Amino acid sequence: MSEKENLDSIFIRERIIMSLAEIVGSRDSGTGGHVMRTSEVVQEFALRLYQDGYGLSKDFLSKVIRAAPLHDLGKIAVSDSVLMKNGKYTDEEYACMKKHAAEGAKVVERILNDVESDDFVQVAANVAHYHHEKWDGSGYPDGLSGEDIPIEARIMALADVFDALVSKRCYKPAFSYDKAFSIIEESLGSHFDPSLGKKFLECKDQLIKLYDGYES
Amino acid sequence: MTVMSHKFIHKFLKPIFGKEATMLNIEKKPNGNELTVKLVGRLDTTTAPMLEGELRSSTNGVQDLIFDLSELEYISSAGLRVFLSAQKVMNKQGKMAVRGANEVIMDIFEVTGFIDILNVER
Repeated sequence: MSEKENLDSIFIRERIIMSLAEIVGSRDSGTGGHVMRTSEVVQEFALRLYQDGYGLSKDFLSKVIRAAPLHDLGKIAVSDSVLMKNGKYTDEEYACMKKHAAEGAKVVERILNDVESDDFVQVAANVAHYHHEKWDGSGYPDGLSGEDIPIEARIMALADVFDALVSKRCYKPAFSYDKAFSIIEESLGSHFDPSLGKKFLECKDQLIKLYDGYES
Repeated sequence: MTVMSHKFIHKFLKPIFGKEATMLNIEKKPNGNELTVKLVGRLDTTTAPMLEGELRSSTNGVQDLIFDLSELEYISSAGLRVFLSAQKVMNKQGKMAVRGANEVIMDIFEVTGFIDILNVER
């Protein structure tokens, strides 16, 4: 959204993104809040990166913020029995769940190709495709490592994991903010980009304030 | 219409919740065809629907909609979307301006690209 554009077209494109995000949310009651919260975490994080002159242009960061609600879009391709399962996945179910990443990128490309700029489609597809990759190469779907993982996906990974840590899931209780941030800190260089992750930790106060708002 | 005063929030709600309750105070000042809406507090996922409702019921016939953000602390993506909707409505019936934003809010407008969409007065 860098240049002055027709407002109706901007409005429709925002609606498309939010509608897609809502579809994912409606499939999985736990995901609705997650999609909304992680998107706000990404905005908070992007703001910090912009203010601190991290070296990413505001045009790029605005694309990452807009793309964030689409990161789990591939979950629409995961069967209900897996998506809504309460309990530990079998290996087979986990393999099925993991398909949401690459599938999400395909759906993003199919739906947004004609309505968004190529640059935005690329960012949104990368966010969906690679947000479960890990810095040390142990993530999925492609086992990318380090800077081979697009930076937009490295940003998304931090927001995604943070929300999962402080939220109650069927397999874990909600962790305290302190515990969540210390887990992220311990995972710098293994799960997360160490330099980007350090910046994320600096957002602690703002993120706590954001999440306190969800509880009140 | 004042929804909830800050004094009330700090005196009663803060001790109850043991933390800063995220609240938004919406002050509407109509003046003929002009409406100034002052936002005090945080415009986020929790409070954005409140502003959306207030605008829906009060922008009929308004030709000049002005948002006074001088006491707005924070705006999330949900809040930005309310501005986008308001801008769309006002493009049909008049104009809209956003003024008085603090440095953080200005940075949010910049990094989200909303600086190019809204009429932000510095």
